[in-house]
Amino acid sequence: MSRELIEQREKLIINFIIEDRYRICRHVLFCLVFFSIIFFNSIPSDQSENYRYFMMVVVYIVFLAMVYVNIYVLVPKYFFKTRYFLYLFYLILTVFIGINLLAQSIKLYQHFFDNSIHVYTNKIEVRGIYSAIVIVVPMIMVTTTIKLLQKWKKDSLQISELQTLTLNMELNELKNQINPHFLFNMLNNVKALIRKNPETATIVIIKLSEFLRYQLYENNEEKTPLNSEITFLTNFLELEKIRQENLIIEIENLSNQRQLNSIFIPPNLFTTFVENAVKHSINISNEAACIKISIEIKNKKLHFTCKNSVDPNYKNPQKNYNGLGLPNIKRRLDLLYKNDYSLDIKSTKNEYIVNLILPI
Amino acid sequence: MNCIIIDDEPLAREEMQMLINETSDLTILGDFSNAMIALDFLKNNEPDIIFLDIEMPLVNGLDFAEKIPKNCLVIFTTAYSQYALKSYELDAIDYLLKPIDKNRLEKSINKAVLYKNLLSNSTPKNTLESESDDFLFIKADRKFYKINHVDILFIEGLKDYVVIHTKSQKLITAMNLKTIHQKISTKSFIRVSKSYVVNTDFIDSFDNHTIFINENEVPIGEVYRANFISQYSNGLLDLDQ
Repeated sequence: MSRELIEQREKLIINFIIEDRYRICRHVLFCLVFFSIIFFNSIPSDQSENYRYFMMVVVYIVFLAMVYVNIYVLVPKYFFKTRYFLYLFYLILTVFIGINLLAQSIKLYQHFFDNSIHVYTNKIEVRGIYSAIVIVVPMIMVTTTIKLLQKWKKDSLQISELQTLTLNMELNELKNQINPHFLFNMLNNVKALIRKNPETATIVIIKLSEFLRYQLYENNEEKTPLNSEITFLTNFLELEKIRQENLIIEIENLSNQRQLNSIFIPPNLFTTFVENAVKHSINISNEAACIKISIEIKNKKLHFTCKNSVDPNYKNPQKNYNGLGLPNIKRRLDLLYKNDYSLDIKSTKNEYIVNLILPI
Repeated sequence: MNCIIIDDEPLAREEMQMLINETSDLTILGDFSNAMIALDFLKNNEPDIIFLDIEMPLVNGLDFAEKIPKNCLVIFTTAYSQYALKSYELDAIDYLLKPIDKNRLEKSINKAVLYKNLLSNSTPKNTLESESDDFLFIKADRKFYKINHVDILFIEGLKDYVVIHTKSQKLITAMNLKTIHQKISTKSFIRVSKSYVVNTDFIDSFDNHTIFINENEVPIGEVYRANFISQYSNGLLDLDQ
């Protein structure tokens, strides 16, 4: 119970130091404490009343100015930007100027109002400087620490926010990668094949495993060999062929194996186009639908073409069938290649053609 | 009793045929790759049960379910789990997830057969004859059944009928769920979805989506959930607890 209380109190103090809504309170409190320190301190009692009040006000103003110059100019400008030597230099300079200002104002006071304390000048100056440093150095240290604490707390908050943001983004990406609907339908098909045609079932399970392995692991790599990307697309289309009755697929690749293994590209660049081709090639009168993909390397450029037949009588009931797929892949291409790529999509009555050219 | 299968995937249709043949005596009148062809078939035929996929090109299974004749009972078969609640709003008998478990299929076919029998055996003009504060009379098969309110486990709406489940029997009567709920004014009866009113005295347990009563599972409708939970728990439980 008492520990909880202590923790609660500690939390309150930390909040008071850090949170923006206590800002005015904080400054008022600081000014008052500072004033009382000066009020009960340091002014020699053998001087006249007027001189005492004058000294108090001047010392207060000059010290306060020094503290505020430190926390609002020097700390953010030099300390937070890791220029520690410059910071130290300017800090000492500020203290030096401040104390000189004090000395000057005492001289002015003597000059205009009271000549009687002239005798003590030297003594006062030495003692004044000494006590000034004793007060002002801890003050500066305390306020700088508070500033540091505030900044640290704000930074760590920002960092954790950023981390959750990236995590969520990655999570969403993962969700998009594996389409559970596809997976469960595929499992259902395998279940049917196990009895009907065990050999095909075995082949499908192996293709499905390869498909999943690529999605789960290679997908997270920054780059993947062009070869495994092509294998992945082939697997995907062959699995789709099991789901649909009259699907003809053709994958053409006009480069040799060595070339394919030596070229690396970011994973999953073509998947969206191929998925769309599958969705849009549906033929309602049960005639054959056709998907043709070709990948070619010409003049240090990768040419990807994906054609699919379109049933002119078939209007997709879901108008936004493309969903986020196409805009997402465009955004990704923009981020990866800026203006170095070209994407051309043609839609005719019987055919839908995607042409993508990437630098390699 | 007979049925048809609607699914866009050929292997899924074959699998369904095999499963149906293994678990029941249903005659399969045909299988269709999309809902449009099936609609044509339904013009001249009236199957008792339709096994219906949801995600299909052209017409989605949920939209299709709204167009079929009244006497056809629908069992959804799909890989998507997120349509379950919507499917109950459509008076579907059941909602099966692919890959489909044989025992699960058997259970839902049995339910469909039972309901089909209830619907056809009892004269369609089965009516609620009289009601008082704590019992009601149902006329079925030219007999009168007296049902005490306290014996009712739950009442299920099915097309234009309600099925009254008591501890010992199931009785069907031509009436809509709202009317019968109003007639049974006892506080312990709560509407929990578009097609269910339950007697809270028999609830064994419940979670966010289902109420368990004597081995029966009653789905909770999204719209009714908050009301049910606060009423049943007398305000002790909030949603999301």
